[in-house]
Amino acid sequence: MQDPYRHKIIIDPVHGDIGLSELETKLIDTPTFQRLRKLKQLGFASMVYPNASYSRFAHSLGVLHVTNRVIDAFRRNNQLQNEKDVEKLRIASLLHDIGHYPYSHLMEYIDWDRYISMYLAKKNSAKEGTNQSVNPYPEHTKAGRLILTKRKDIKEILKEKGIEPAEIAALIEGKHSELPPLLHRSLDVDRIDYLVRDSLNTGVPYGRIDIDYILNNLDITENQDIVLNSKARISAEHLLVSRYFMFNAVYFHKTVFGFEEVVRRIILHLLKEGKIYSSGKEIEQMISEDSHKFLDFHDGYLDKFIDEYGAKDDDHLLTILCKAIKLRRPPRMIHEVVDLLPQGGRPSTEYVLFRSCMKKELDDIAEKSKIRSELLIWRETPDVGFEAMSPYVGISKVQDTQEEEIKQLIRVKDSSGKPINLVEDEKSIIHYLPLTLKVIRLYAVGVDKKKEEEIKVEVKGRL
Amino acid sequence: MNKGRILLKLILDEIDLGKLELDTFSKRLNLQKRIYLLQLTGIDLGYRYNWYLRGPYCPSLTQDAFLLEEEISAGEEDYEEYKLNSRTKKKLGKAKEIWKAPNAPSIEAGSWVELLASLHYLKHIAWPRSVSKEDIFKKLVKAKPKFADKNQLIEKAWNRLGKFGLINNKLCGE
Repeated sequence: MQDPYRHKIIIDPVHGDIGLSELETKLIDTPTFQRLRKLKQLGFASMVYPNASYSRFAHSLGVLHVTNRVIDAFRRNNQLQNEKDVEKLRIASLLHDIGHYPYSHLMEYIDWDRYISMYLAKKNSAKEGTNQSVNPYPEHTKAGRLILTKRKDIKEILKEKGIEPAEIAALIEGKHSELPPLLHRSLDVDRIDYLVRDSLNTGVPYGRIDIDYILNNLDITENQDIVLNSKARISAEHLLVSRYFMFNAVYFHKTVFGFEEVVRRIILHLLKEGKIYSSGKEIEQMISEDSHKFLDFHDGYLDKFIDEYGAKDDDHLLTILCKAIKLRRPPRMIHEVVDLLPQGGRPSTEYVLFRSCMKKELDDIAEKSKIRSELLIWRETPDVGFEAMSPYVGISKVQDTQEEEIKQLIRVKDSSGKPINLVEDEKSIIHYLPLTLKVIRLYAVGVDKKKEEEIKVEVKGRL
Repeated sequence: MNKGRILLKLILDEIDLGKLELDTFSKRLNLQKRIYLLQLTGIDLGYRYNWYLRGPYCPSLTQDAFLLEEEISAGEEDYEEYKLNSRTKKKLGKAKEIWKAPNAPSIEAGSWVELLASLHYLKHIAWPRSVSKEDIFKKLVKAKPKFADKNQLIEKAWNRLGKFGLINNKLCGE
């Protein structure tokens, strides 16, 4: 009998042949899935690493392939014997990124700070905070649920095969109470694919983890927990350390991060000026109405504004910001503080001082340096650690840690075959790396070398 | 401290969890369930819950709570510049009414919020979704045998959720 998952074969530079079923091929051929070709997985990394422009389309196929390898491990352990369950897990992996926004998280969370502010008021002010009601964009998983349950193309193909679209959405969101959440673990299929794919496409070697060895050494416990055989411990350590290096070298690269911050400001201005979808409600309507509008909602949706404003010849803020992107004029890094904190460690004095200076003195720095304050942009990177829980808490120091809290940690069998958390294994390097990376940076946009030096002097004088 | 964690800290202060006692799982579970119920009043803090043995749980909330604890012990005081506005306090008042423990039968506060949050999750969030009340009760007891002989309490919790408009018989997102 012909293997139903080899109806079509796609050649992939990371995994080689990726087999697809007839149903998966139909899903891939829908306009909604084809939209993923126009979403770059790595955002603005291609401004630094020219080949880093691969799409979420390619990544989604890779995640499907990795999922299949994990399913194989379940089946070797006499679990997931139901073909329909396998079909659903594969489809959820294939469709896991279907709800992503243009430039992904940059746009998705653009209004989150303003939304949070709706609940707060300043202590020394009589004002009750913002009176504006903020309706933030739905998160990409919620957008994904709407796409699966409202848009006809994917929904009808699934229903025709007796698969409930809402169930696939639940699997993507990790809300399925019976099937294992393959997308929501430290050793998750999403991460395994993107680390290697990012590494291959940037040319940065740190993410080249030993996928085959990891996937060949998966074992499944009775309660559907994924663990690694002890001999694959080094591969798991490599995966976690690789991720840390990839953050340093690619995701938080000073120029990539600077460009992304410029784009964030551009999106905020476009939102303020009513040029883009103004609320979560509008986005939800646009997705649900089943028109071409959603198909055009990809990176190009923002690129067209960047091109339009970047071509102007005036000194409006939006023009300057868009020109920086369009003509690849990287924002100049004025100052940066990097802390690598041990567990429970306090940020360095240098870090605290710089952060306080950014919060209180930015306008003054701009005035003294004769630059518009909006062109001075500062931001902290999200904190990054080696394991999901370790940056914040040593799990061995917390009483009665439960399944909920360790589900996202990588587990490895010890020499007696008992699964333990890698971070708790005293023979593992990860055990000795409960570190958190914190980075804070200030950039200036649209300045020449002379102005950059002037601002640097102004900032240094305050630290 | 980002704005999200500033808001979390001020809310935890308001619901008497501001000391961030996170050393035992039951304390962390209590925080989890209260924030789950609080979000049902319309204050969306961005925490998304998955289903585990003890009901809905959000790993990123635990991480944020520990991070908050570290930030405060490192001397960060950004939250001191802010207060909750009156609209937020009103919603918090509603949340407190939702999880106020019943007079009888008696139940430990942590188990009561666990019961409320789990019933809501099973009814509205988890897949596969049970449609009838009886099915949800059965599912709850299967997942949490400690409630097996507590029918009266389960019924009370269900009615409490209903009283605050949190049981909707029309499923959304389908």
